[in-house]
Amino acid sequence: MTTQTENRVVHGPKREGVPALEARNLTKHFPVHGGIRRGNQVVHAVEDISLALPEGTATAVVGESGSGKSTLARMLVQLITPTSGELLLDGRPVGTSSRERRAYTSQVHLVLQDPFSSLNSVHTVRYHLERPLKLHRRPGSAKELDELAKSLLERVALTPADRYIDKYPHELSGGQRQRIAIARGLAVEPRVLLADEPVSMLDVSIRLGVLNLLDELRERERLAVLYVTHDIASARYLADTVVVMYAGQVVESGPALQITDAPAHPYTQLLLSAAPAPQRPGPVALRGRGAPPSLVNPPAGCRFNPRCPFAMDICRTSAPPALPVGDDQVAACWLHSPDHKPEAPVST
Amino acid sequence: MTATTTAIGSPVLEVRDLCVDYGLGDKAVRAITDASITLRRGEVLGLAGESGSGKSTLAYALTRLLRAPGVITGGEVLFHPNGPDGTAQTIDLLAASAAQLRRIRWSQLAVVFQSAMHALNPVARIDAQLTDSLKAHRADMSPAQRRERAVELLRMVGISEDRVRSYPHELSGGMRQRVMIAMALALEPQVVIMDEPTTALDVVTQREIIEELMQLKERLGFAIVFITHDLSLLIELADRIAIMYAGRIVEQADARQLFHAPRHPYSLGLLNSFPSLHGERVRMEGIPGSPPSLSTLPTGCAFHPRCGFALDRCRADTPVLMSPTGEAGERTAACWLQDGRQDVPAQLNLTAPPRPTGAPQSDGSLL
Repeated sequence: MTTQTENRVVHGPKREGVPALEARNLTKHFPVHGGIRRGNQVVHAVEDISLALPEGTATAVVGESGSGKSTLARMLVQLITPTSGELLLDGRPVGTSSRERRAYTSQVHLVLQDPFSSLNSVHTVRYHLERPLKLHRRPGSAKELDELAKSLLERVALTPADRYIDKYPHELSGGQRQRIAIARGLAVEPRVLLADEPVSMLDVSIRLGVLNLLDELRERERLAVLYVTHDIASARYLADTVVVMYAGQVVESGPALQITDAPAHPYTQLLLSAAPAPQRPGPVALRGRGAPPSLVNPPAGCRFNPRCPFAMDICRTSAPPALPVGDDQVAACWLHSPDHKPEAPVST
Repeated sequence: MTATTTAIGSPVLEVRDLCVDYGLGDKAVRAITDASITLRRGEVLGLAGESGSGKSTLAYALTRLLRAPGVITGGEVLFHPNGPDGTAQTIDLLAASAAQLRRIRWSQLAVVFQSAMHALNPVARIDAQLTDSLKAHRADMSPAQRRERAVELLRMVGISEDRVRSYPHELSGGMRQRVMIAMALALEPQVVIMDEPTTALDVVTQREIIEELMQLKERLGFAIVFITHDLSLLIELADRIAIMYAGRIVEQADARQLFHAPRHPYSLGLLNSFPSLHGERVRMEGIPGSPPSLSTLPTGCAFHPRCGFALDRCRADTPVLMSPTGEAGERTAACWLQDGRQDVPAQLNLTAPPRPTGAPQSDGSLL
């Protein structure tokens, strides 16, 4: 799951060969303008995250609102320029020229959360699908364009394609719209598909259909899928690897079932105990109440320490490194360092 | 809270055959058809359904907050609050005058809306908003007493005293929702209707607020109608659950029974739409298709186009709520499979295991 090279811990599924997309030490600080007494401060939105997305794998980034998960996804599609860090597509650094950026957008695509606003309501499905086809695939004839657009609809299981291709977004249900948004993403033949909360706006009964579609695309077309979500149960359902973010940092990552069955970081444990789970045997015991910290002045040391029930002195002074806690599982927590004995036993 | 002399468990709110339309005449869309629910004192009744199923409309209709083009076209809503002398009264909410409604609202029947961001007045401090209902309903309270009560209410929901002069934008989403809950509880109502109160919040905040709410409910003894699309959350906190689909209540059961032994195919499908946090990872299918538009409802049972068990009869006749095959008691389901004329599919004929006696049990088989 994680490989340690120099001092960098790379999160994400571990596979042989070069990952389709790799991010190295991505950091984003948003400047805060204005305010008489504020001066020039920054919001530490994402801190030093390295992530590898091999083809044919699904990685889930889980976190609460404000944890930096969407910023991370937007940096990966170059909608946000990172403060520092670099992106590697198939092992090659991504350049900044417009030609390279266009080539990059045809390889890495982002599906947004809200299919009700990400599709243009005055245009038909055909328009939405043909535009990226014209720009990136340059088909020879109108007939070929039509065939390509219809095959896209078939790939997202909107069949027969003829029934959907000339509809307007308002004529489709939420799930169908999200499928159109995914089909539009597939038009450029990407290798990496990022999905930022793709199902949270959809009705409960159709969410699984969209998640299953992402899984089929991963399997059938060998896409590298990054699924950004706040719902750890759906992350467990879809992903090979779960990366848990808190206050702009990765606190834990590892194989999905390992993370949910044996969470090692206190924040992951908190997240799991708070998630609704009817089959949970006993009543919930929340450990670590309160809210995430301000990212303008994040706490020193571990950013979770003000809420952490196990916080030790060292947690307040120095940030914990990612420590191995199991097969391919790492947790950024001093409790797992052999040099620092926890004051209270950590149950997993 | 004044001590209730009326027994816990007696009905406090009864909705019978409520029908709501949007629009008038030929263009009217039937949003709720023949909805009947009974809320008992001190219980949590969960109302689950997808968007467009009519769950919020039901909440608005029974509090008479429904705005045009919504029209209540039938049924009755009976509210049985405890009077000042401790005996239960009966008020027909649908026939109540504006003055009567004004007396009941906030003081005996309060509503917590989904979006605290929009429900709070952005230009008024929260103490002013909290004391507003006290001013209107408790004329004998002095400003100092009202202020004290506002502080007490905030403390009750876990907000410190120094926040009392804040504006809504200075509070986090969770705190705003807590203010909404405090406001609803200011006059110690007997029924609180909560429309997706925690949907916009993070899971940890959601869990904290729900824990607080349940403690307050134990202490103050109010009853809750909890509306949400998140059935897995509802199963944890509700005593009874009513599932709505396309404007009708399709199943009503004890929360545990519904979770372990659903009787309606839609309930089963909904339960199978939430991936589990425990056990083996299995592929789940959710429910095929998508919820129907209320203006073009399918004939017969509105769920039949998505139902894997549909019979010929489901396409023609609309099922009504009835006791499922082989069961007496209070649970009901609106499904022809449960009318006793045919064998019930095994998935819809499970029995809930006996209540656990402390020992953890694995239910991985169901979800």
